[in-house]
Amino acid sequence: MSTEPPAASDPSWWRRNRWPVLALAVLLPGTMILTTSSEWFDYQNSLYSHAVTVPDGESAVYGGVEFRVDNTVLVRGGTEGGDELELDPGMDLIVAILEVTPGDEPIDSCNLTISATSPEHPERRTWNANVDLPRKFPPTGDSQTTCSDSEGKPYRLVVAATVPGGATETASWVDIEKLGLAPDYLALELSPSGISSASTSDEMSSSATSAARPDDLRQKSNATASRLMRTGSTSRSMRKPIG
Amino acid sequence: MSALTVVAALVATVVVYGITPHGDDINAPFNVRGNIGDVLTGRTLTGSVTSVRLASSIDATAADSDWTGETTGTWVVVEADIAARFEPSSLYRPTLTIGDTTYYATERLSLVTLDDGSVRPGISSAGVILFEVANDQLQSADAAKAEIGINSSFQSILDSRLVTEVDLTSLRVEANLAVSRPEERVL
Repeated sequence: MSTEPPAASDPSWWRRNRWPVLALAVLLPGTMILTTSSEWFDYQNSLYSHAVTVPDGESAVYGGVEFRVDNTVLVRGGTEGGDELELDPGMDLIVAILEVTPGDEPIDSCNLTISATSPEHPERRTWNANVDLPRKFPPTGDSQTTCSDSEGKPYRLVVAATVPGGATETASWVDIEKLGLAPDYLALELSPSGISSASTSDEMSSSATSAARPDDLRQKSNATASRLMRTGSTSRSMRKPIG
Repeated sequence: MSALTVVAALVATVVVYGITPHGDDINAPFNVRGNIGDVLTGRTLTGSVTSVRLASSIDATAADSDWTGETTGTWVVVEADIAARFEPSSLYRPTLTIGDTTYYATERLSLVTLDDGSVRPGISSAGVILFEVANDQLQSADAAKAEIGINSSFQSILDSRLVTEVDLTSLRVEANLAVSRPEERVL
């Protein structure tokens, strides 16, 4: 009579399948990431999602063109200057004057917006520039209102927007987007110290309202722009070119 | 054990199929629902439908338009007060849904209706949106649960949409309803 040794118990399901299950746990997410990451990055790179912020008074090269904020004016609605421009009470008009120096590959078009934050709205909000302006916003004279090739010559670029009153209290920027340079866009900081609500707006509005003839209006508008240029910041530095 | 695993897998399949979207629902908007007067806030827009009226014709002379809005159906005139939240936005093809039928806002009266322009952050635009609707639809039971959809992106694919529910059966039809251009106010 012989006795057989007891049969070893079968290994558990987990012990038998753990390696395939672990492999699936790694391979399934890995496959998802590999197959979708290209589209995801293409999509992200098509958005203007990366702000290259430029401190007020400094310059930056974007798409081969040098931009610098020379001065900023804020006109408040409900004030004398605002009334002369027929700016609605409760609204602010922000006007930035940029110095633009074209490079070898001049930008002949761009998207201009003004963005800002305030204590009530700490998230960044954006308004299209140079549309929906007050009815008596003065002509910009020789200054441009959009990016221009200008035959390679430096020019002034006026960027203006009507925004809710107080919308720019914390910070504000001129944003410049150029096709083909996404995801980078230029965010030129408008310093609060460069914003005034009294004399400069008076000059601006009076230049528009007191002129009797279109030529006078243009000359006075240019004179106002010149004064704004003279009172602007003079600090200047070059940043790493973008685009 | 294996039979139990198969049953569990089948049940899981049915559950997953049941709770995941199919067909057009895959690209459906994320609706933010409310009633007339409710301020609704989506990803891009915030605002409310302030009133809904019915009219047999539209008088747009107050909006400097000599267009006369005659129709073989009925005009559903939606007054709304809408602002953008973070960046300028358009009201892209507002909709009026009655049962299975969806009407897009009319394009017959240009430059006067709210959906012709853009809205800005912090600045609300109050104006009208016009829908030209068949009379039999207005008399259907579904008209008591009509939905006005306002969105800012193309067909509101995978984006938020402000949906206001309205009972159109309780409204009388006015003979000649005057409309004006949108007006802005700071929020």
